[in-house]
Amino acid sequence: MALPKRIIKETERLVAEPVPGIQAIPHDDNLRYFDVSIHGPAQSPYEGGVFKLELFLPEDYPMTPPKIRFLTKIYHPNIDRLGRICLDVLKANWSPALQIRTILLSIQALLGAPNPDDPLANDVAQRWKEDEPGAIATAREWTQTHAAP
Amino acid sequence: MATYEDDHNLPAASTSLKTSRRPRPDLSNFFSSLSISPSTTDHPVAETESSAFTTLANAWQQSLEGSEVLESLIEQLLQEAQGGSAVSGVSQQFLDGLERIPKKELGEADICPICNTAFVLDEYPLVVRLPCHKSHAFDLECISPWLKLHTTCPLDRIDLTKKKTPPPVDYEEEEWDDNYG
Repeated sequence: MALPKRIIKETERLVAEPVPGIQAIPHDDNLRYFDVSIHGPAQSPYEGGVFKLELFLPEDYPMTPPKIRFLTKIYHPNIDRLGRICLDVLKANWSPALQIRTILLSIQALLGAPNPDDPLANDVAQRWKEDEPGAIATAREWTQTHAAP
Repeated sequence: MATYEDDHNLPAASTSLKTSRRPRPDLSNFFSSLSISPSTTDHPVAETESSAFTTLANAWQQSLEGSEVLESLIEQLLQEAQGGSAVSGVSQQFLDGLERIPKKELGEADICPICNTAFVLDEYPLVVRLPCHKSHAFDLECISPWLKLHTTCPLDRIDLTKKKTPPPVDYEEEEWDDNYG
């Protein structure tokens, strides 16, 4: 099936005007599959890390949200050990007016503002609430170990 | 070849008889109807899924032998089949009744938020305005598949089915204020 015009336009813009700290490159043999990397936001425990993600645009995109997963290990209350992300705009709050770039920005913002009250990784969220400095220290260690550029 | 029962020294005949006697539901229809579920966004998924749920429920019904678990499963499937399509999106009448924006009112920079393409690039643009806000304009072709599955505006997530009439337009109020002041 031909690639919808919207996907072509989004891809062109992602390449021509990339979002600072975010890179998304489509695979040559599957233009719906993107290799994504997101730089950890400054002043967050993820600062200095470069996190790899995979992004897939399903057949009925943009009526359904893109499927996104972290490939790099990350210690974060809203990201589980399989890299799945708990983010409302990726699920119930998806809207076809959102785009790849807006979604990736939301994920970058989630790194800067972890939300342990809406957890996906329960053990991490628990620790985040009980011992925030300790959790942040672990997140920083994991960033150095797994997300070194 | 040694069977599981042989290996574990179990009475083979009775168990294998029991399982073979129970009629197995034919699920081929269910899976085939799922696999042809529409990739074209024009057709709402709910309709086909609904019939698929019904098929699955019927298939299980045939193999039912008074199991409560199965019964409740069947009931749930039938409810999904009935409820699924009803709650999902707006009606065709709602889509037909959306306000059309004539071509002469469309600016060159106005784009559809869904396909991100300027309306006027289409020689015969069919553009509609959602009742939530006068700037919320979409290609009918782009907004239809969304509204058939959801009742919200993609830009502000306002539920379009909750308010029947659009909010009062601002300039009327301003006029009245002038008279008053």
